[in-house]
Amino acid sequence: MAIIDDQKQLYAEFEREAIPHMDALYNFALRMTGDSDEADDLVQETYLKAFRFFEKFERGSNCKAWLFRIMKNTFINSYRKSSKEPDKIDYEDVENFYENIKPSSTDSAHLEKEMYDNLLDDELSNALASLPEDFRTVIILCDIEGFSYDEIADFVDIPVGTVRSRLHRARKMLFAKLYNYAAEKGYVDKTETDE
Amino acid sequence: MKDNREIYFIAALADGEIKDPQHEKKLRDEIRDNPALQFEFFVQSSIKDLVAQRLKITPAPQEVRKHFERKLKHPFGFFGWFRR
Repeated sequence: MAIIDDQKQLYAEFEREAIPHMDALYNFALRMTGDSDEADDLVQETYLKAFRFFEKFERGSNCKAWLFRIMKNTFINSYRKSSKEPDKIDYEDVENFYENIKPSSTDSAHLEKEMYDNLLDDELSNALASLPEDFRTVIILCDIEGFSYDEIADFVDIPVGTVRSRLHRARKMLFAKLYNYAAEKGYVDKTETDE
Repeated sequence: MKDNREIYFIAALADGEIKDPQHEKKLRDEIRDNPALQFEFFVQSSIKDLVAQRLKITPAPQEVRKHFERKLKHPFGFFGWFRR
């Protein structure tokens, strides 16, 4: 009887601690795999592993970060190779973009209006999906999920300085990609860069 | 900026992640006096805001959520369940 009570208590605790983070995990899974079926599977596999090892979870520590760590490792081991990978941006190309962008085109108010106001959500999603995985991860965790640098460093297992540099580069890559979308659609003048 | 890595702190500034107020003030002063750094800050802060506003969290499908909740309450427990 005591075993059943313990089990019930464990289930209740898991439901209270882990289940509320399902939306955040699903969102991360969807953006990493690019496929809703794979995201479903990744979430389920993550929760199954989390439940299996829930007794090892340190009570009072950050359950969301713990779940993300499990998901990230599961993704790396099982899903990375099969997930749909759009054409990736090369950071060197992005550096060239910033070297070539002319001062006349860097009026931020103009860019914000012309680039962002005309941007479709799907275009932004596609641009994010085109970032290399390490860069995409930090953007999702910081800008969508709202984790602090310390939390991101903890579960991506990199120093805080690397979180900072990856975010900086990732946002520059994303901006360059969005600029090109805007230029292709004629919202900003493509002749402003030498690309 | 004497150190190339210092430029990465512009991302940290956009994220409110600079813990030393003196460092933050110095960086803000440098940005104010340098158009190239102003552009760097614009890229960091505007992309952060854009992503946060446009790419909100996609909720897990109800069927996935319900599947878990049913399983947790099932008399035979969580491990009777395998991937669909």
